[in-house]
Amino acid sequence: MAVVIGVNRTKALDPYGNNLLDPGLFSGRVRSITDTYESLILISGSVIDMGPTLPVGAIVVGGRLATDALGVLGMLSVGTSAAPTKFLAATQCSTAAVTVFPDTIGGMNYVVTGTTDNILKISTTLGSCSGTITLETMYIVD
Amino acid sequence: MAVVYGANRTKILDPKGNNILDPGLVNGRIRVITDSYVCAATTAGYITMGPTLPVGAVIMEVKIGESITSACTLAVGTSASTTKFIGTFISSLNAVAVGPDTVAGCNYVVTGSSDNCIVIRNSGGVNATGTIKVMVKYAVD
Repeated sequence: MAVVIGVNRTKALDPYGNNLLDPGLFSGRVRSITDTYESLILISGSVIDMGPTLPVGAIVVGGRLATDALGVLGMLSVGTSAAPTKFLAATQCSTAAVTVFPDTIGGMNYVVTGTTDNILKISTTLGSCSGTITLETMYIVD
Repeated sequence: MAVVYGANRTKILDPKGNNILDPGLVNGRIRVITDSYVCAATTAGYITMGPTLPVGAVIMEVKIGESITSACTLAVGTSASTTKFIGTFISSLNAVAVGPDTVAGCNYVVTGSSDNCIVIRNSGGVNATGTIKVMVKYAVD
């Protein structure tokens, strides 16, 4: 039976030159962003920018989207301007709920690279949304 | 209605001798491990991820994301218990599983050399092709 080793563990076992791990990959300190938006009537196609601008190199390790019942057709996604569904695909928000993200491997341990992915964005993808929208996001930088 | 206390709150209310709590049990600072492995028709077996955890580390959360193109039987745990944090599940392309999914893995305290590394087990006899990512939150102080 094969026993293999992850990318970062491989580097940690042979720590010189390019193998030195970037800050935060091992024993990184968790930081959190929380932000809230009170939506009166937000039409489909709207974008809510949440929280501060993330530094390049920040690793998004997960979070939660909490909403009121936003409306019969209300759907939200969580991502960045470059990829509006990076962390959470369009999710029905017709009932009050808390949804954990990321929901795909593409958003897992995502490393912020520049100006198109350094602000968390909630997008309304269908219907109009009315109610409280809260985003909690955990990330590491060091 | 009865009001009772958790094990740690009981100790906090009477903080002397053996009641003094280990670091990280309350007000612990959360640290994170991230690691990944690209499987190229990797045969069934084990993938060891991340650093060696210190004895006393309390595991708070484990996530595994995978883009395995075949239906592999995966689990996440330690070498002593390969399903400690996430029990066996069938990989489905581009999915994320969150653990611990049992009480035994919830707030698990690392004790020694057989449980101080995160291990992914592929036990179904199907070779894996694709990327696996892991994220672990833990507290030590």
